[in-house]
Amino acid sequence: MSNAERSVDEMNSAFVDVASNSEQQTAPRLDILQLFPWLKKFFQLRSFQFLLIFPNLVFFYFFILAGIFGSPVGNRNIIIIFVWIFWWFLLITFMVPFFSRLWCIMCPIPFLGEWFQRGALIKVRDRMFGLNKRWPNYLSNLWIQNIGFMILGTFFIILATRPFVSAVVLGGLFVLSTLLAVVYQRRVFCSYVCPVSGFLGIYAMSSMIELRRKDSDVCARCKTKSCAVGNQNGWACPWFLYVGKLDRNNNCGLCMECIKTCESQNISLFLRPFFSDTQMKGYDEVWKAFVMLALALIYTVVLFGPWGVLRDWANVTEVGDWGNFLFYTFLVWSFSLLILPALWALTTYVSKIVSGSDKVLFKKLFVAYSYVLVPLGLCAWIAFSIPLVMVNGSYVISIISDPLGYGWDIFGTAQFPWSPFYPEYAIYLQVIALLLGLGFAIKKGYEIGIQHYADEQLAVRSLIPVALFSLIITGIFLKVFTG
Amino acid sequence: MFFRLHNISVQERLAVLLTLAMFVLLPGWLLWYERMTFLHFKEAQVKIFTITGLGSQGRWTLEKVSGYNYWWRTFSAAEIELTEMDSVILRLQSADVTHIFYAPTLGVGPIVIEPGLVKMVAFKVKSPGIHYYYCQSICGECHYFMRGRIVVGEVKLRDSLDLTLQDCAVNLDEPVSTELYNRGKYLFAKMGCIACHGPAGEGGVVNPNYIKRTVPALNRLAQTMSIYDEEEAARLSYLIEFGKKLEQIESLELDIANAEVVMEKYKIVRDVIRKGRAAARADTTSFSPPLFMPSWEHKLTEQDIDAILTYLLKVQVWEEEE
Repeated sequence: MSNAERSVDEMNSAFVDVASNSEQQTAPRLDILQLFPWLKKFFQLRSFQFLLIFPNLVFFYFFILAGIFGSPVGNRNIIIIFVWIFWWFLLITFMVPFFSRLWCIMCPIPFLGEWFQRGALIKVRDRMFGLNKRWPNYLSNLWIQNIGFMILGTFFIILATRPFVSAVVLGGLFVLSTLLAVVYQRRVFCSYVCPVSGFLGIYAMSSMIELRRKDSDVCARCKTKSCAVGNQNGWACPWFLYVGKLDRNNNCGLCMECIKTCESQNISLFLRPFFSDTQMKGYDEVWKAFVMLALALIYTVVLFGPWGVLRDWANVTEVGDWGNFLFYTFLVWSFSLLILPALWALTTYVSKIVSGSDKVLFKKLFVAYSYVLVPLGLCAWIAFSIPLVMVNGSYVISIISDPLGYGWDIFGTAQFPWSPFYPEYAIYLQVIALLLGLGFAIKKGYEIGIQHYADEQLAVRSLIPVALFSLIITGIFLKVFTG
Repeated sequence: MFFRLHNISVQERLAVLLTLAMFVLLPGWLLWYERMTFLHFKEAQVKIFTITGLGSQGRWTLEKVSGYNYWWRTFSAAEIELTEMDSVILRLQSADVTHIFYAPTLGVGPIVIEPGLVKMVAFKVKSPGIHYYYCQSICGECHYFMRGRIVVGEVKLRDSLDLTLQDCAVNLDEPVSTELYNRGKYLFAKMGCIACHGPAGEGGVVNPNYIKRTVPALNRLAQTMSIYDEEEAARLSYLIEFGKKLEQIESLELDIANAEVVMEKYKIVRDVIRKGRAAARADTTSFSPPLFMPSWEHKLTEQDIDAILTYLLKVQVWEEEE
């Protein structure tokens, strides 16, 4: 399909419906590209994305080979150490809060599929290869990602300790992404299927950077909408977005194609306060927040709690207790998809009653206030990841010399002993992370309350149950971490 | 380079070339590096063997163990054949848990092998013979089966069935029957007793520098307990099953000769199982025998021990073999 053949009307129906809400953009923003023009030049290079993806592709390929042909011992195989300790920690602690969906620019998984679709790695064509089918509307949400993440989460002990399993899962995602690219338009895998993309989406709302239009009027006057449909300078937005109406970080993969294509140079990267995006849209996003918070809690209890029996239940391939594993699976899924949402529904129902006003419907409160689960969940994940890297991070030093566990010593560091990095101080960092999450949850809850009630008294009253819920969740995490 | 190349087509071609080259060169480099690592050993005509310990299978193997085959494949036992005066390097590694490699007659070990780390040991074989190697770390249910063999020179192997090398046989279903004999038979296999004492208690497993040379047979245990015929053994078995506890057994009338002596020896045998016993050295100035009776008191209840003894009493060999 040629980009030039798209009419503006067709384009309007093709991209994600992100209704403009200029009232939300009240926080101060700093135009990064104006401050650092060299950065804009870099983003405008056609080779920009390739230069970021290629090194990760090399690593990804290497990790898959290591997982299949290397040692079956988890801490002596680079795929486990680098993916589940190093990359995960970087992703959740730095990339997402500071740089939004930065990982999506450099993710190697869609590489092959996108190469096939575009028929090029760098240059722009006027057509895309493949069947170019539209992704079904009823699947244009986060539910596949929610279920996908739940499945991976259920088997996380096996996934994070078995190199071969990790290799199969990552390789499988690579193949799936390629197949979907052959059949569907653009980055359907990244938008609707990738389990990582799902949580990157809602947690990107916390980020201190955003890609937005500079002036809404310029976009309104624009006849070509090149950011969405592409032109000779760049591809149509792979994420099905129209920057003219973009008001959240959730779906923007920061590929910078729109910065190349915008004829008015009206798109830029901005610096902003943390947790500036506060609007949750749809139950799929709300349930994504439930799933992420629930799994953070479950992982914390299973891995750091004093109940070894839970670890045995989760570690089915070693212990072999399939009966209890099924029971554990039932607990995980019911807690994530039913119990926590039910508790949240109760909280927001009480919130509505306590507010003393019928102004805001219960359903609206249920969705709107669910944003507080974003800072709670993100900071809980950060708190969970801190001890993992402080205790196991030293494996990185030895593993780079012997990545496959073959007895190599490429850089002379293979014998570097396991050395936890001040693990006794991990708890302080965890407490700080959790309290930050609580603080942001209450602060943002207050702002959401004001948005919906307009009256400060009503807003504060409605916030009380939500704040209490957040406090209890934080308390549970603190209790498990501190013992 | 890309910043200076303004021609997009040139950039495109370079990117494609780089990508295709990477897909081919990366696995190629891995293979090359693996070969190059040991090239200088091969040039010096040193024989190199990579032995991987598998606690899950109770096995030392020469086969390549990796992420994709560890979980489903049954690996063959490592058997190494050498000639006299060979220079040898053993690369020892573990695919799962910590093992301790010990080849006492070669003067190698004990060497602790942590999972994923490779330990190298070099030696020169000086004389022909069969050298067994063992694991000295309790590495799982199959630990007691974890042995291998290095054959040096033209040595005739004793027989085709070398009881020192057996497949791990601990994956058994617990018997439904509550009879002590059945439970004893199950425990004798499950706990790995058969690894050292033989599947039917026949002994014969080589234990270097042990005063009796091989692990004792248990199918003549009755005689060491002063029980000399099958009927007496059967009466004792019955009383053990009926009495359930040692105090009750002692209170019953045991209609056999030297009943008091038999009961005392029975208690001694039970104590050996409970507390274990070191293996006496043939040469007291040399190494400790690698196989010894471990303590079972934390793994077996009193009734379990009685069950094993009940089973053994019923598999005794009473007639002299011709």
